[in-house]
Amino acid sequence: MILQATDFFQVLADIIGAIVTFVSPFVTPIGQWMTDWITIVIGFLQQNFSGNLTLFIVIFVILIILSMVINIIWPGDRPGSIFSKEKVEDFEDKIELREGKGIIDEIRRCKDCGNPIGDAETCSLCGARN
Amino acid sequence: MGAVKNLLRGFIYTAIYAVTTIIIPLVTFSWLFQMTVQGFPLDFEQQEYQNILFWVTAFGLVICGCAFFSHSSPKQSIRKAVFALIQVIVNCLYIWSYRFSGATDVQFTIVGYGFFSLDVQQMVLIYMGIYFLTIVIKMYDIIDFTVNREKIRENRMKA
Repeated sequence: MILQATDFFQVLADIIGAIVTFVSPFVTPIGQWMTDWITIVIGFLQQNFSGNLTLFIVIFVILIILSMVINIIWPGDRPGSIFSKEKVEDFEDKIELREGKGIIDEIRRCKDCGNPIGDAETCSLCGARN
Repeated sequence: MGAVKNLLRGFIYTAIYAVTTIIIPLVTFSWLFQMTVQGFPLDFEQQEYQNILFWVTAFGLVICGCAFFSHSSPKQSIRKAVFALIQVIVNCLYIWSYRFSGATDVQFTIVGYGFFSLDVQQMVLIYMGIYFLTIVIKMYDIIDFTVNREKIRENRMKA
């Protein structure tokens, strides 16, 4: 089955090869720089933490617990938290201000008669140009 | 309710990352070391099998932790952006650890026939270059979320 699809794989390989050849001159030097510093970091990790998974398990557990605690305090869908009451009030004020404005206030009205005119330049009721 | 939803999302993504960064590589490597071609066993010349497994598991764990933190954070939050950046950086270490373990230049010997080698180092270099661009985007996200913090939070509270 795989052997029968050789042509397809050849075309696919050609396309991928063309893309890789095109981006290679730009991306490879950056990749080289990346690998330089990564090699140093991994070298350090291999020297100091090789063969002992404890540190990585501890990091994993700390991240999970920290994230849970932070999410309970700052879930993101309600303003602020128990630690930032001032900010809660700020946000509530801002939201009230915006809500108070209302959609009716935003409708354009004729300067002469006050009739709602929307985007029209001439008032349909009194004929005044706005 | 928001916290529960966030945590659930975090756990789902952690599970996905655990499968893709730890379980699948471990299963693949185990399968690779026991593979036979037309009845002939592959004599895997890399003696650092344990080393590969160790670093895949170690970085996989850190990636899973960062993924949980990042994906359980609210959208467009600074903490999400920061941990997404850390996750990308750890991902770089994870990918490069394959190379360090010899997994990007593996030589297989088929008993009685000869050997074949698999060198994907150039591919990893290109991948790293693309990862650099991802890091730049993540840094931009942090700046964006920091600069527009008030606006984002106001919009989030309204929603």
